[in-house]
Amino acid sequence: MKFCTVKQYFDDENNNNVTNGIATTVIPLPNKHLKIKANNKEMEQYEQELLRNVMPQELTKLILAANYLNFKEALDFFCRTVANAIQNKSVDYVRKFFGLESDFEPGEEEKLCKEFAWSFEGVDED
Amino acid sequence: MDNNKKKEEEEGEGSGCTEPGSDWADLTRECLTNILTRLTLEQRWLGPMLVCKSWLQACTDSSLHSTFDVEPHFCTNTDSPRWWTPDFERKIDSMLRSVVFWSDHSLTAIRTRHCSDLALSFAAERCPNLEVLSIKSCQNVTDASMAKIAFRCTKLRELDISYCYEISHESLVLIGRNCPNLKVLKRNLMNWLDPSQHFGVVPNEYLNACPQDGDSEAAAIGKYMPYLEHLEIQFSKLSAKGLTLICAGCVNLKYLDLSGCTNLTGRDIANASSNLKVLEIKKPNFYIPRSVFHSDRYGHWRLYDERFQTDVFGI
Repeated sequence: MKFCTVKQYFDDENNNNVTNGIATTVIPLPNKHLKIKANNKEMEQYEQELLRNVMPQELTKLILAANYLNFKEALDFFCRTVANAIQNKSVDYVRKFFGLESDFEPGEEEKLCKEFAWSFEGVDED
Repeated sequence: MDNNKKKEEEEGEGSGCTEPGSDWADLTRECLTNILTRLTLEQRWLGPMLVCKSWLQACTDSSLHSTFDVEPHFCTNTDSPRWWTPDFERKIDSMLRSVVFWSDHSLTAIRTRHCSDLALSFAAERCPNLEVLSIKSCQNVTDASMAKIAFRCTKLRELDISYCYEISHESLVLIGRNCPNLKVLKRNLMNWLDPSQHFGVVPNEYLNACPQDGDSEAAAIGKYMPYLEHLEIQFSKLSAKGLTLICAGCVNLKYLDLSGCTNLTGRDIANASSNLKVLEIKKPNFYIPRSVFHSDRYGHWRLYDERFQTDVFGI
């Protein structure tokens, strides 16, 4: 039963895991899914449009929300989108994309780069 | 509280993707792994792996490392002289060792080229569940590490040691005796009749070190690999005697590639394989030249063979 967690959420008013903004994005998804289940392409288009308007910062919240709600299809979709966005990209690009900073010790990152040198040619331009 | 959060979101959307986020660090390990499983080894290696400590940990999780497959990087490009250098071999070794270590005994397939005894021994000791081992063109893999593979990787199903000239028939004996699940064996040699396509790429001394004892290898295969279904021995120097041993011993054989095996005649092949009803054989091209560069020019000779059945007379 997909929405037992949703019921729990509404019962628990102090819930911080899923904000209203996210709930309005994630929860309508299954209805839309059911409506146009037969037509995969339309679903794809809808989802692409949805994500064009969503920045990476939001994506993380969407993923966590979908995970919390146990909503497998949405989780798979969001994770797939993130994977597509970062495939064939460099370390710096991935950091910038997610707003992350390196927490390696000063010499450590260089050491790791050397230790984990990839034998073949590299990545796309950033 | 909700209003504040909404405001935060709006600001976030406005300022683009450069805000330092504790959000992504909060991304549960499970979700991060979900994302990372959708990337190839190379994609993880070149980007996400060195982003930060927690991402490095996530990228080295054993669930992501059930195979080490860099063969696509080799087979989609033409053979490069760079691959035959010690420096490249060291890099491949290093990558293989890392993945073997991360896999924590769960590795089931290794597909690479140009690794050495060092990395392969390391793998043998830590990959008891290995089923597929494809190590073509490993000029420094010898019987020493192959023996370890034979004793430690007994679930082996598929083995490709093509162009590995430091491996002898001794390894075939050990593999056969210790790996009863073996169904596929590829032990192709380079085109020694016309090696011109390899000049300038493969070191000449290696080209000249091509194994000569096709019959010893055939004997080992025939005697110790009775469950074999698929066998490739291109350019082997085996004779009719060796072929007979293979066909007599490998009674489950379904596919046999004898391209370039010029010591065999059509009659030899027909006689040796008469007991195997379900066998598909790729025969040697009996007419010179056997070089891929020239096959266009001489391809029509095959028509001559088919029309006049000159192979029956062993010409």
